Amino acid sequence: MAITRRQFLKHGGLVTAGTLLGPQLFANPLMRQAYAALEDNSRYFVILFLDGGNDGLNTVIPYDNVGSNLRTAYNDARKPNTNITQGQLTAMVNGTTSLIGTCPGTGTQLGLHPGFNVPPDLFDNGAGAGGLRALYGQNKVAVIQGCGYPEYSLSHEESRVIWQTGVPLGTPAGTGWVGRHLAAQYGGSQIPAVNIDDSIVGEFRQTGTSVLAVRDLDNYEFPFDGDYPGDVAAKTTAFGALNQSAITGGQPAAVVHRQHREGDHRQRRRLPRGERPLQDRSPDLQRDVRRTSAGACPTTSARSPASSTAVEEGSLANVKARFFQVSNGGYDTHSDQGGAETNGQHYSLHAEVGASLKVFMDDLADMGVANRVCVLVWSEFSRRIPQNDNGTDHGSQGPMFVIGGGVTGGVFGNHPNINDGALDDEGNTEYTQSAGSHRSTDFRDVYGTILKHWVEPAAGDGAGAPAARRHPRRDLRSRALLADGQLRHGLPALVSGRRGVGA
Amino acid sequence: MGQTIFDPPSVFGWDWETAWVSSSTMLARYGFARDLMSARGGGGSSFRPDKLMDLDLSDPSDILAAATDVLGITGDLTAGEQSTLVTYLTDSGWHPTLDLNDYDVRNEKLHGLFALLMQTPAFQLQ
Repeated sequence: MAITRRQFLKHGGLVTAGTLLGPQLFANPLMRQAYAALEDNSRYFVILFLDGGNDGLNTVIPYDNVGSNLRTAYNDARKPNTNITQGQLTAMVNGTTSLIGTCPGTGTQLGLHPGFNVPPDLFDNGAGAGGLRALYGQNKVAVIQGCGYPEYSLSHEESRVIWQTGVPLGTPAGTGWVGRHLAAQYGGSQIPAVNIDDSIVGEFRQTGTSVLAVRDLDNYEFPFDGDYPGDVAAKTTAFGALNQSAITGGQPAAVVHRQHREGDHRQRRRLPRGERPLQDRSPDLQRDVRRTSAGACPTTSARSPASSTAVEEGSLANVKARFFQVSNGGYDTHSDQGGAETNGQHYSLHAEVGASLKVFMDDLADMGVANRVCVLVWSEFSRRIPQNDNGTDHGSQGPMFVIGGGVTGGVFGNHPNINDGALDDEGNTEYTQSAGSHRSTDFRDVYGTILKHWVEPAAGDGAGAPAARRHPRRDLRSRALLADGQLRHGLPALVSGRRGVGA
Repeated sequence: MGQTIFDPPSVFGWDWETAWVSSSTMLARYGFARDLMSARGGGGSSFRPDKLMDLDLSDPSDILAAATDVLGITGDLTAGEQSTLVTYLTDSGWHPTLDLNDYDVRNEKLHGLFALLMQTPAFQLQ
């Protein structure tokens, strides 16, 4: 069961909703199945979209005025309701404060929102205790400050499309920035990507290969009418043949059919049902998740009833997806954003995402594959620097996170200049590529770094000049963001619409 | 079916053009077709093929033609797809003709035929 933003409201409180969803964010069986397939050295790339415009200033927070007056400016802009105090940033939780590294540009000490340092008792079983702050302590989190683009849009839709297509200026591309890679590297009968949504997300859009869009795995099957059991086999055969013909036409139903047809009906084992509220699951969530992560099906609690026809393990074996997308909503905090209090909306969102990431990465570490998974966290924009009553309006650039065992942890990019005099007429930070301690990060540089250093180009690729030379900035100034070692030839076309080109 | 009531993907609503087409939404539509066509019993909310076509038809090709006509997809099926559906109706030739006035034959094969026709890209996308 996917918790939607509406359902958040229906559940009558964000803490409740967070507890429901919590570590489930990454518990989708398709995702587990993918990273349980350890026969090769594939790398996996997960995109986590924070839907609604995450407030970057209360995500990575200036703690002091070293090399700047960021803390003073912060206190001026955020008072009192959305202010995260110095005391809250230094409070010990899980044996650590919320402080992280310093800003590369200014030297200012930075802290993560205390929601990322979630205490063990906030979620059932202590799953995800420590959240993102704990992962940072394990050197698995790259915090990239000030990510944005010039002439920013304050529209959720417009800005989201810009980030998804990688085209800030001019006509948006019809394809997504990951989609262009998928189309270049995979064929129509392959399924390299899965997104947990009803529609194919913008990042994955293209026409060259198949993307699985799944919201509810329990019903991911051929929907047949079982009233005449003797006719089910004939129906199944006909359905398969009818939708098989769609494969050559590139129709989406091809995917449906592949799932159904290529599995062995007699030998398939059932996948655990992953989309259920936490309280429906077995009490020992952690063990359950780990067992399923490792490919062993739980034999009791998580098994579907025999009558259910949920998608089964064998039938999914041919998906072999390496690209995933999930999203979490509720970041449009115009009001009731809150500060560090645990019942605040922003705290709950950070706690939920941080705990989910922690559980996910713990699983991967237990399996010894943490260095094969990279998670990118982004939002369509940050929020206004000055707060309103108890919230913030739409803003400009904000931080991104890149998380994984193969990531060089630390702080990259510069904190935007949040001084009142430096803000634009809207009260937002200026995107600037001028040299200085507040130079912004082009979000496409992050994409380019990941594509070039993480996502493996196909063998034989590399025709044309290496991207690093042609587009030096495509390689994030922090080339070591992903501790990959070897510099690979990039695929410049995948990150189209360079700033100032074709605009 | 891709439009969760009161839960649009953005403040612009479902501003997707053809992007609603996905494995998830197609399956939801297929499931809806199944639900419609498996409603039997003759009540007000059940599917009544007798109201839509001639039940005296017995040749499977004629039955298929009548059903595609009802659904407005005449000419949209390939020869292979038509053959597949005739094979379904006749159980691979075991029953070369069908008596649709027979309660069970109608409920099994004719309802099944309509569901299968609606569970095709031809019906959903053309």
